Amino acid sequence: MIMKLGVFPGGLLSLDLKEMVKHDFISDDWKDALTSLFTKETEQSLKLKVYSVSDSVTADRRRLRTPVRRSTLQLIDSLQISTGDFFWIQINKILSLNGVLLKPTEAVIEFLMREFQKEIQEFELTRLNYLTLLSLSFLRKIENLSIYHEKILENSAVCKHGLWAIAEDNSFYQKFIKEKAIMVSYLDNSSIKTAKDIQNIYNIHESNFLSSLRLTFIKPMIANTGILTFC
Amino acid sequence: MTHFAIQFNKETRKETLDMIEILWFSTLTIYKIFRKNAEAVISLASKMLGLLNEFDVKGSQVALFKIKLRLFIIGIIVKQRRGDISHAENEFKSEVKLIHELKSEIAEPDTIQRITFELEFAKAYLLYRQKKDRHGEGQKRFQEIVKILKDSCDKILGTLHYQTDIDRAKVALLLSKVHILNPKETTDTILKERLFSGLKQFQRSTNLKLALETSYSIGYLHYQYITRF
Repeated sequence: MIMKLGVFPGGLLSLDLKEMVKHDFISDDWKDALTSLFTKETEQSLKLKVYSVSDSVTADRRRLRTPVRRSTLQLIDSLQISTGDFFWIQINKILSLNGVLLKPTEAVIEFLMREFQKEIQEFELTRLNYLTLLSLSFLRKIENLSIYHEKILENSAVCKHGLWAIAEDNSFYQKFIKEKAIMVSYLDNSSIKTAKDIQNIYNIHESNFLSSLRLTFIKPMIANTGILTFC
Repeated sequence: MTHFAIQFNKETRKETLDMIEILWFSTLTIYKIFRKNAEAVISLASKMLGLLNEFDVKGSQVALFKIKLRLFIIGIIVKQRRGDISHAENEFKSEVKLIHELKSEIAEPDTIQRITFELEFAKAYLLYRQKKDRHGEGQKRFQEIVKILKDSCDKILGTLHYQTDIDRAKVALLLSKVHILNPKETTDTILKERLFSGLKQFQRSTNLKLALETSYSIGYLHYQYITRF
């Protein structure tokens, strides 16, 4: 769970996690995992959980051990977890969306990138698939809200004609769009009705989208040898 | 120290490339919509081009993706860099040169034609913008734009067999914009018909801004016609 959240530098909304379960990107035990970590727990028990992640790097362990938890124990009804700044994650309530944002700290992201490369690599395709669906859903929402319109010389993903249409033989298109028309449904929420509303959600996800340019994990999947070796 | 290796197969490679193509282009488009800073957007597109070079994968798919990114950059250059026209023109020429080089990696004749269409249309639009911003050289410039649109763009569209309606509508719209800037030019009935047909296409594909611009052009050209007599 920590690893799956940690690979999204901008964090994930609880709504994203629900959506990922819905489309079989992750299993539905994330709620239980979070609830067990953040409901009425003492800092001591949290520390123990973090220690069990890895025994290999003492410096990182020392950093993660430092208690920096500040405001906590405001229960979120739907999730029954506490909000606040924990030493490996920030949990903030997003009132407008009736959800929470779970954002891993920089130290945790760095630690995971260094120590859990194999696990991250295995999850990378799933992560990118979700971001692709999310990006297409953003474009659809932008179109539905009429906050941006195609220009005469547009040349972007807003265009759906000619050279700009997604190729019929694109495997992502065939798997998710052509027949199933899968989209991230929380963006369809009627409470998201202005350019500002959608921009606020985009601001959360911008670093996630930009992290799709992280070549460390993509390059081996595309390289001719097709082998990724970590030493 | 940990040693391990993960083996990827051909399917993973295709799946990843297909996904990256959609994800990066959508990411770039959303970034453009929300960030609105032309320099930052061009910088992100250039970064993507650099990363694609690092993949070291040859073939139509990657070449076409690179071309789309370069056409995207052209769109920003022409539309948003209005102050320094000569600089924009140099950037435009440099992107066009790189696209022509990449075109040699594309195998499908239909795709090559569509790329050529996009380049010609962008060139016509650049000249129109220069004229609109009073940087052109009078009547000669108008004729040059009309020539590109009619002799190149229309001709290419005539050779393509599907998905050309929006492109045709855009050509008609740009022709009408040129006519509006140059009242000496007489509007023929064919252009009017093309504009009405284009209006329907834009409405059908919910391109409301372009539909509105087409309606405005129809109205304005009609007004020009009436006031002439």
